[in-house]
Parts: sequence; C-alpha cells; structure tokens
Amino acid sequence: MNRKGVFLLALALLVLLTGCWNRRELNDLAIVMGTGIDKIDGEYVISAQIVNPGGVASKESGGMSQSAVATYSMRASSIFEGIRKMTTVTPRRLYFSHIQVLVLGEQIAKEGTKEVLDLLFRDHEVRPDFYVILAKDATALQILSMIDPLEKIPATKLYKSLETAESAWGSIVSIQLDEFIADLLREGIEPVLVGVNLKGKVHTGTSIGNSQKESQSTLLRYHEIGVFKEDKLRGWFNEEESIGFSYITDRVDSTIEEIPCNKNNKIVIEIIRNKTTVKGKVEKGKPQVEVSISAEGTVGEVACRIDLSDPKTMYKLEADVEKQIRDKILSAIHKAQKQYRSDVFGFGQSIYQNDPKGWEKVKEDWDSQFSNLKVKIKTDVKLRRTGKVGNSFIPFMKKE
Amino acid sequence: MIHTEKQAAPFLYSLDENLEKVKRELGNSTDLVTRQVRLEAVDQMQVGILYTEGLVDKNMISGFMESLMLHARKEDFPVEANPLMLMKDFLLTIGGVEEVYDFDHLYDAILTGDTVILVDGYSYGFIANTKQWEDRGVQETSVQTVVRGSREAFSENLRTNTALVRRRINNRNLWLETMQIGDMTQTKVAMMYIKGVVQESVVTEVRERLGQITIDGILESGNIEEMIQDHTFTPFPTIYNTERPDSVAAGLLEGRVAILVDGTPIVLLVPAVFVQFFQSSEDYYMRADFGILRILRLISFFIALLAPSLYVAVTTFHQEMLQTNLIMSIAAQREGVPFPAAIEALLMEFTFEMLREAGVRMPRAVGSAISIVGALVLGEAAVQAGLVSPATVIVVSITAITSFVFPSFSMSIPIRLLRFGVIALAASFGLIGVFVGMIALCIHLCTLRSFGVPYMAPLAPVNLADQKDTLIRLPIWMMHTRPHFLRQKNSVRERKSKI
Repeated sequence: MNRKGVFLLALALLVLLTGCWNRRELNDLAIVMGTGIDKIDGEYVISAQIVNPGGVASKESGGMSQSAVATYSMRASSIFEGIRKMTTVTPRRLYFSHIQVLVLGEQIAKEGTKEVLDLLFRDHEVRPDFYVILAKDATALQILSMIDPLEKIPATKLYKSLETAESAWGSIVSIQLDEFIADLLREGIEPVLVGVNLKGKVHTGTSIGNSQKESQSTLLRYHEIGVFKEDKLRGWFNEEESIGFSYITDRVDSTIEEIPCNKNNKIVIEIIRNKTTVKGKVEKGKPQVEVSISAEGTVGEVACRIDLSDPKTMYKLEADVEKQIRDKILSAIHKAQKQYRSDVFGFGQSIYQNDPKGWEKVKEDWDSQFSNLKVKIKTDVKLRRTGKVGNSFIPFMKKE
Repeated sequence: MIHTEKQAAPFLYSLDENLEKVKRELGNSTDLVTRQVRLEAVDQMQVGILYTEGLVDKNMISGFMESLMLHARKEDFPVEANPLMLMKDFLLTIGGVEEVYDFDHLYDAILTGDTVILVDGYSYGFIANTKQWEDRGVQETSVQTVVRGSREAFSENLRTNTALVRRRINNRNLWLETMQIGDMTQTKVAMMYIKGVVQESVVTEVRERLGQITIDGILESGNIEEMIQDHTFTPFPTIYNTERPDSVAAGLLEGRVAILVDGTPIVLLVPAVFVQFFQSSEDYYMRADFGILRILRLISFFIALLAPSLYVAVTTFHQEMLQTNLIMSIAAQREGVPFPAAIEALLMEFTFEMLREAGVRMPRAVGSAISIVGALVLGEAAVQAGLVSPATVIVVSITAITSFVFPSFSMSIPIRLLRFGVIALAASFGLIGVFVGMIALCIHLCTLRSFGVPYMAPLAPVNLADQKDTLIRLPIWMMHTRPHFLRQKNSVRERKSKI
C-alpha cells in the first residue's frame, strides 16, 4: 500500500510538474487568415491579415464597431525573418494554421516562387490547403487590404468569391498550395494560378468607407489565369483562353456560352455539366493528344426571334456551342504552345498515364514536342431544356 | 459487550423469573410487552406472552388470547398431557409455530416481531410467527423509470421483495437462501438464484463472500456491495444494483445471483459487466429497433467523460483542428476571459457538481432558490460578467445532460470522477494526454473481474454470439441463448420452434 501510494504520487507529479508545454490560449493567438508576399527592391514584404475575433463575431449592428481585421506588413530579407520580425508590431504571436489565401505579388511570380513556397510547405503549423492567388497589377498587400461590404474579412472574401466563381464562371480556377507544388513536381504538366486585380483606386478600397457605400468604387476581381513555366510566371491567359483552359482540364462545373443570333442580339446557353477526357499517346514517335468534351446545357436567355420548338434550331444551337467551345480551347492551346511554350494542360501527364513507354521517348524534349503537338478536339454538346418556357415571348410582341 | 458465540441460557421453570430476566436483559425497553394470563378454567395455569410492540400483528395476538381465555376448558388440558403441546391447537390460526428452549432464541424471536408463549412450570416455550409492521408497501419506481414495463419497485421489506421476484418466476428451481449478517443488526440477507441455470461456482463464491462479512451492522445493500466486490481500487461498479423486480428476474434468468438485503429497496445482481449498466429493462420491452438507443447511451458515455477535456485540448493545443469559422467564434467568446480554458472548464464543472450535490441534499422547500441561483446567476451572469465564455457553459451543460442518460445511476459516478482527471491530462498534454488516459482506462477496464467474469465481456474477450445483446439488441426471437460469459449450466433460453 505504501509503495503503491508512492508510485501514485510520483505519477501525479509526473503529470503536474510538466506544466502545460506548448499551451497556447486562443485569446493569445493572432489568427492569420491571409498572407501576402511581395518583392520590392530585392527584399520581401510579408503581409499578414490577422482576424480580430471580437470584431467578426460582434452582434452589435451599426455604430462604430471594431474592425474585423488588422493587416500588418514587414520588410525582410527572408520570409521567416519577416514573420518573426512581425511580432515587433503585432501584440500576439502569429498563428498560421487557418490561412485561407496566399497572395503572391506578380514580381515574385515572375522571378520564381520556389524560395517563397518552401517555408509555407515546410512549417508544421501551416496546412497546405489554402488557395494561392496572384496579384495582377497590384501588390499583395493592396489586394489583402481591400474591404468588402459583405465579408468583414478580406481574406475570406477572396476565398469565398474564388470558390463561388469557380463553380459558376469557367475562367476561374482555384489552386491550393499542395496542388501547385504537385504540378511543379509532376512530369508533363506546368502549374497555373488565378490572378486577381483591382478595379478602381487603391486608397478608396482600403478605407472602411468603401464598405459603407451602396456601390463600391473599388472592387477586387478574379480575372485571368497566370501561366507558369516551372515556378516562374510566363504570362496570362485572357478570359476566353482561361475558359478554354478550364474545359481542357475538366474544371468547368457550370459556365455560360454566348451565341450571336443576329447583329446585336445573343442567345445565351448555360453549360450545366461537363466532362472532359484527355487521352494522349505516342504514335510513330509523334505524340498525339485527343481532348473530348461532352457537355450538357440549357437555353438560358434568348434575345431574338428563333423557334426553339424546332429540333433543327436546337441542333444548330448545339453545333454553334460546340464550335465556340472548340474555338476557346484552340486559342488557349495555341497561346500555350506558341507564346509561353508551357504545357499547363497536362498533356504530357496524360501521355505518361496512358502510354508510359511512349512518354519515355518524348519526355526529353517535351517542351519542343509540346509546341508542335497535334491536339484533336471532339466536342459533344447536348441542349436538354429551355428553361420554364419554350419559345421566347419576343416574337409574339406587337409589331411596332 | 456483544457476545459473538451464543452460550445457550436455558429457561427457568418459573414464569415470573423468566419474564423478569427477559425484562432485565432488554433493559426494560418500553416497547417490550410481557403479559401474564391466568387461566381460571385450567387450574390457574399461568401463561406468559412476550412481544415487541410495533413489530407484531396485534389482531393475531388478541385473537389467540381471546380463544385461550374464553374457550379453554379444563377438559382440553388433561393432567397427564403436556399443556404446551395442547396449546398448539389454540395457535393453529397462526402460520409458523416452533419451539424455543433458550433465551437467545427468545430474544431473536421477539426482536424480529415474533411472539413467544411461555407456561409457568415448563422450561420451554413457543414462537409464533406474528411479524407485521408498517412499511411503504410496493410503490412505483422512482429511479429506474420506464415508459413501457412494470412500474413496481422493491420496498424495504425482504419478504415483499422476495415475493415480488417469485411472482415473476414461478418455478421450483428458484431457490432462496437466507442468512443473517451484522453482529448487532442481524440483518437478513437473501440470495436468490435459479438452480440449474446459474453457474454453481458463482453461488458458492457469493455464499462464501457473504459468510466472511463480520461487521456490526448492515444498513443498506451498498454495505454488502463494498464488502464483497472484487476490486476495491476502481471507480467502476462491479456489482449491478436495481430497484426493479423485473430487472432482477431477468438477471436470474440469465444465470445471475441476486442478493436482497432486508431494509433496503436496492437489490444487487452479480456477476455484473460493463455493458449491463447501459441496458435498461425497457430495451427488452419495446421493439428491437429501440435497442439502438444503447449506442446513443454509449456515445453519451464518451461525451460525458470527454467533452470538457476535448474542448480544453482543442482550444489550447490543437487550434488547427477546428474549422476556421468555428475557431473564430470560440476565439471571439474567449476575448477578455481572464482564465485559461482549463481553469475555466474545471471551475464550471466544479460548480455544476456542487449544484448537483446541493440539489440532492437540500430540503425540498428551498429547491427553487437553488435552481434560480444555479441557472440564472451561474449561467447567464457568469457569461455576461465575462468570467467564463459561453462555449464553456455549453460544453458543461452537454456534459451534464449526457451524464444523466445512463439507465443505471452508479455508472455516472465513475464518469464524474474521471472527468476531472481527463481535464487535467488535456490541460497538460492536449489530445495526447487524453488518448493516453483513454488507453489507460481501457486497460484498467479490461483487468476488472466481477465474480470471475471479465468486466468488459462480451466485448473483451469477444464473443460473437453475445453481441446480440450488447451494443444493440436483436429481436427476442433471435436470442436463443443466455449470455455465454456467465457460463451457465444451461445456456439455451429459447427452443427452436418446430415448424
């Protein structure tokens, strides 16, 4: 009994004397929601957007409520140094587990991202499942500082608007850090990142007044897709090409196709479902890639006099949409092949997956092979429905 | 001084002296009644009647005295015959009659409600079974209530209790052994089991352990439970207790032994296993799909045990595990709270336990005062004053609710105890501490035995057939055998129907 008592006492001391190692109370943490990295004059500028939980969750409406976030920035010669140095200006230790977006300045993207991403990928605290976006024609700090009326936290705005846009508008792709790094490492594929730019003046967007007006003079907008060659930004796909890129990489959930039906008016088709398969192989030493698109759409908007009840009209519409999708795809492939010489579509990867032996033969000079690659495109669009009504009411209007 | 060994002191021949001695030795207790009756009709024969007031059926005694005094004639008592033997005829109206030769038995008899009849000139007498006293009678269950099923609960009277069980099992194999435990109290303790179903070694073991108890008094079956349980170093109950006669009957049918103690409405069942404490008798009376509720109880067990510690661990060590919006709303609540999360949780848990204890102990009349203070002041006001965060209050409330889910109250006690230990582990080591604690708890539970049966059976050691009545209950018609871990002699409970 005595020995048992001593043993139990020792056990209790073992627990109690360790203290609370590595304990961090929630209210001692500065939860970083978004990070931005810029490069100015050879030095990194790290910005961190820290959430003020009281400001986010406060139920009081109106009046002067607390600001939901505070965005700090620090210049340093390395990123880790910048993060640690930031404690000299922040009241709490930065906590990076809940980052939602990482904004990279265009300058860094052009010079190479690998040095920047290593820390964020290496550190145990950071989960690599946040979105990486590029600041186009703006610094990351400016992007992070834009205040939005609906989302109190700019980083959350960036994150949510990216997710919404991706599912509703084809030109937007969301890339998380681990996907980006995976694309950097895999053979026969190059990474892309979505770009965000500012519309309006910077100084009006960062003031709290921007969120109090009915219509905002300064907005953030996801725009185009940045094409990388290895870890360096080569250039941008415009909107058409971005949609083409999304079709090829099977990222389209839902998007819009417009078909001109006469001089001024358009018929709008909503693509509601899409499945793309890419098959690559090497035949007689020549790589070949076949992209087949099978999409489903509904008629979304009709602004001219056509008879939708006639199957022929529908077939023609389907053919028009097919052609339009094909054009977008072709323009994207053309730009990637000729201008950037970067296989962002992963054609090489699909050859590697379908024909690994053939890939061995072409992978040595894949860059030049890619530039001359013949891509066969098959499109199959089916229009299923015309919405609530059949024909538009426009033909039935009284003639003026 | 208590004399443990009985030195038989025989009666004297003189009735007066006998009565004097009894009075003297019982300290002239005022509830002792000694009546001396002179039968005029029978040669002035002197009869002494002794009983304790309040423990006897007075009608029975007055009926006996009436027949003796009014109807006894000289012809009934021939000189050559033994008058005591003849007097038995007058006692015929009374059920049990036996002879008594010494004072010790006399004391036992009159102090348990029997009446002793002595006759002057004879050194022995009769004990007439006239026990009857005030009790509550059979009342409705108050602790283990059910929606569907018997409402009867045990009462304080041993005889009533055994009758309640026997009424449910009308079988000659339902055996009953009675012994008296407690040198002072001489409490009657009864063992019930079904011969031919129960494992003999368990009966022998129970009998042996009960026989080894040497204590001055047994006031509740809890005293017995503590004296005969296997491990004393565990917070977990290794003996099942119930106030429901149908639970006891079900236990007997499964091959368990029931221990009934006079003076308490709580009956013990051995051997007990862990899952038994999550089973309600209602599980068997409702349709089988109702048995899924046991999973709910098991989940509640873990919530009641772990909720505060997981909260502490996640908010102080593993903030990355929570969803971003959730962590922000918890962080917002914690803004301005002066205590660390662990202290906060301990404080609230402690407060709740105090409230609960007060709720049980306080007089009914002040009950509403406590609930107002508890609900309003400690919940609302503490949050509004910024002393604790609303999240902690929610966690503590959930813990409180889930700890009342178990059909057996004795299981909520180890959880209440262990919860504080796990909070301490969580506060010092985070989730790692919690998991190490859980592993240790698991090992501990697996080492426990209840009368030779592994406590975690049929989960560990696993028995596939016994899973029918563990986490869920299969329909009655699929339960052909009794639980195997009890190792009954006869494990078939349902004959396969011949179609």
